Amino acid sequence: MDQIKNPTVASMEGDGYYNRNSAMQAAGIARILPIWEKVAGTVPVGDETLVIADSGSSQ
Amino acid sequence: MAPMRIAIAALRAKSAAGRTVEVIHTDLPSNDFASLFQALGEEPDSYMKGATGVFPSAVGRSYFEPIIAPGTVHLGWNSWTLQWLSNNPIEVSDHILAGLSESETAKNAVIQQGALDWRDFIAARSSELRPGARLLCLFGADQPDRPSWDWPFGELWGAVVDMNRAALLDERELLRMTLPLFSRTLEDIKAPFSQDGTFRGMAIEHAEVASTPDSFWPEYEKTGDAEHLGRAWAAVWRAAMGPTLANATNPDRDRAALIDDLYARFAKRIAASPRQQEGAIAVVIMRKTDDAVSPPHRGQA
Repeated sequence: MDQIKNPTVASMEGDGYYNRNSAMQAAGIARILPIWEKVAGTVPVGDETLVIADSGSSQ
Repeated sequence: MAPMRIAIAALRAKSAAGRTVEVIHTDLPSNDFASLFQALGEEPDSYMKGATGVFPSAVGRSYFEPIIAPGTVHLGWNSWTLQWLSNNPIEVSDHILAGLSESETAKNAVIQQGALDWRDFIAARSSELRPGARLLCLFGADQPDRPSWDWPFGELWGAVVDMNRAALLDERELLRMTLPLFSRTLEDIKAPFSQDGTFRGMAIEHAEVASTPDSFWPEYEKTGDAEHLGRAWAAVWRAAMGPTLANATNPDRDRAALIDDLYARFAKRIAASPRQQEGAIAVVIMRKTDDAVSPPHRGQA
């Protein structure tokens, strides 16, 4: 057992590789899109600029 | 692209036509944001295709602290990232995931880091969301007492051990290849909300851990092509974990060649013993309550 921390958390593979090879992730996302659409329709909106945050967006 | 397109349409449906929309993409500073903006400009399914009044931007910072102006976000989307920890709390020599090690110390270290990161993430997003805003999170998860991703990670660890035995990776590199990943259970997800149903001004509206279909299995059943199945798994696993594993190798190595070799071995192992993966994902929807919440400090959520 090594107690030294490894802080090197890297991003996804670049140059579009992740986008081309994320079928598994895409399947999971596709499954919840109807829920997402319903959720998005419940948010109260005023006169302000509409802001959507995509946290951990990758490419 | 589809989640952002849906969100834009849904929010605009509740306001004046052509209303200005800001879409903020965030990721680690090392993320390939150039490819993101290229895709926004060129991909046929881009939410920017034919759009007016939509303004995409990017923030290159870790989301374990607030990174967007307070109280400004109407909708938050997060998919397939929260299984990653903010850092690796411990390294182990008997698995590629500390959570699947035989060591109870290692398992506990990962559980604690996972709990801390989850609280930090929720608190940070809470500071960014407007009252009534929603946040949806989708991530790799576990059913109680049943690891969901042990098969592919076990085969990836097998490939690492193969390379160590072939003197292609040394003992230190083998240790550093402990991936900072953690699969939460529904109990882990709900834990911060256990007192009164809220945490840092956020309330859970929906939380589930459900099985997710194996994307590759139907084609394998049709063709029986085990080598293709192996290559498909290797491509997806490399896309997500290749850079982190490359960073675990010594700097003087030919890292690209080592990672090529590692995933070729992984593909062979998958092809040698194909099976249908029974993975699990968590889907969590949270609502920002009307309560005012002061911005959190990292690790003090």
